[in-house]
Amino acid sequence: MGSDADSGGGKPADLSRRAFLRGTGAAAVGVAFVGFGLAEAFRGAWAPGIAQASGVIMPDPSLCIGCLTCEVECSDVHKAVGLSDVPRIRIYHRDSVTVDPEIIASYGARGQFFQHVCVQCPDAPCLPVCPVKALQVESRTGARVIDPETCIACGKCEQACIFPTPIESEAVSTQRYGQKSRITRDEKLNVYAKCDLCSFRPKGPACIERCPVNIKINQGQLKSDVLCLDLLKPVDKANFAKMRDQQTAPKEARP
Amino acid sequence: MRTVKYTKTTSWKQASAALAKDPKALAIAGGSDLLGMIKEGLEGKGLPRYENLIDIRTIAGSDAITFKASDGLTIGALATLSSLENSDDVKKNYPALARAAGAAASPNIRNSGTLGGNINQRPRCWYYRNTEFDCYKKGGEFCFAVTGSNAYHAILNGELCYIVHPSDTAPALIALGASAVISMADGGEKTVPFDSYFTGPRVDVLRENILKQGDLLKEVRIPAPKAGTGMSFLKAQRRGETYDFALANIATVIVKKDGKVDDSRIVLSGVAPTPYRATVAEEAIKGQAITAQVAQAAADKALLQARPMTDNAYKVGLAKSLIVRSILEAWA
Repeated sequence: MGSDADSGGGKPADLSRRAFLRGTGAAAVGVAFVGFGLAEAFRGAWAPGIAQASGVIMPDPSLCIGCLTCEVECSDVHKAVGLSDVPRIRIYHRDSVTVDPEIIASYGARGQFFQHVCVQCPDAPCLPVCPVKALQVESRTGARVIDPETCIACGKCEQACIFPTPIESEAVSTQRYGQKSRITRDEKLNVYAKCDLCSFRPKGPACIERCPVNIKINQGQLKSDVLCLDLLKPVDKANFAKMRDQQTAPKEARP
Repeated sequence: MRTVKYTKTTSWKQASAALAKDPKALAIAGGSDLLGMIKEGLEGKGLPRYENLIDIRTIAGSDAITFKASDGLTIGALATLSSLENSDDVKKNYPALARAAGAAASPNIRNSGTLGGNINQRPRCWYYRNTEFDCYKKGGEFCFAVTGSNAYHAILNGELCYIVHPSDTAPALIALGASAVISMADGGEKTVPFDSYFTGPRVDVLRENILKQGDLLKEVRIPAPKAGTGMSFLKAQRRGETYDFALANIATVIVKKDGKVDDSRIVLSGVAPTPYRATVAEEAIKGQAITAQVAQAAADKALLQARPMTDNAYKVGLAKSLIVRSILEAWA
């Protein structure tokens, strides 16, 4: 009793949670990006002249319980300031996601979800294609944001986005938005919308603040060395490595 | 004891106008849900402390139940649950509704509780009903059920807030294709099918239906049942011998033609934030002659979408067996 092998749910004590998950081949599973996309984007080819985002919302699928708080909060806070209420983050279900043992212990069978949100690409392929310059880099957060007043809903940014979304039938919510990439058309307002890191919000992204798993981790009720949704600084090379690991699915898990 | 202002009204227009101008005003009918809420002192950023009660029971004719074979049934929203349960017209033509009305609460509560109140009652989530928890429903910033005890919470369509719709009559009304006549804040009136009456947390987490301040549910209209219609209402509750809110309940209406299902509506309460229409099960039985196997296959398919939480996975099996039993009962 009390040996290293017995503690921490059976995982060897000298491995971090992240390393443990990676060791089981799980760390990257479940994020249905085209793998090469992000790897290319992060290979160091910073586009000259485009300011980097100060942070990137980085999900960890192994911690997600699919409660949809982030999706609905995203809609609500944007609607409250007169922007499109299309959720900029979406949750999908996928059987191949390996769930963190802590989540299984606290939430039982509620797992196997993954999150999709704009990763604020360093070279932002959506930016130069906008014919009316509605897509701009926001000065405070560095988020790539769409000005709904200027947007003519031509859809070029949606096509330029290198991260496709899974088919909508895999979405946890029954709401349908016809999403093809991380930039979504709002049918009602006839504009496109994307993650703006809640740049209008002094407290930062609402999804990160309201995520119940994050709250439990922050309160120390759930042990994890990463958050379910986190704002990572892209300037840190280690963070980029982490992001690449998480967002690039291994070949067999790709759709 | 807190004091509240109390006004009797004599017309729907007068009541709607009085409600529209005061955000702390609420209509009172049977009062069985409302008075409990006021006494418990539930309030928050999104839930005012109601201080001004507008009595709508005093509106003449608001509790009438009339049936015409050509037009169907019209029920005033102020009709009590016991008057519905005991109405010969309802029992004969809409037995599922009579049973749903009779399944709610206790005889005493059914004698004062109204159909409108049963449809529009607030959720029973124990976090919402506790003043210590400032949850989304009260304008707060957290759903305690997601991370806490959620044995009586949603297994379907939960997002942000995981309440279940508590009404017994609502699934019966949706299954029967009923519509709501709403007296609006601006003095007008509109008719909305119950299919689009209830709204989930994504639309507005502070409300469970489309009624805005000043809007009142005035009347419920149910079309006359088609020839060959069979219906059923079942309720599962934790304490079977006494009265309780439903763990899950179900209303099923099946229209038979040439020995096959021509049309059906299967609606559950107690499993989702709004009454949940199991369209997957409806499609699965369409054009089929019902057997136990067909009903079981439809139920299994319908619950594939369920996403239970820590403590409520039992509701998946419960909902399945309710679907099977109620399809078989409505078919028989």
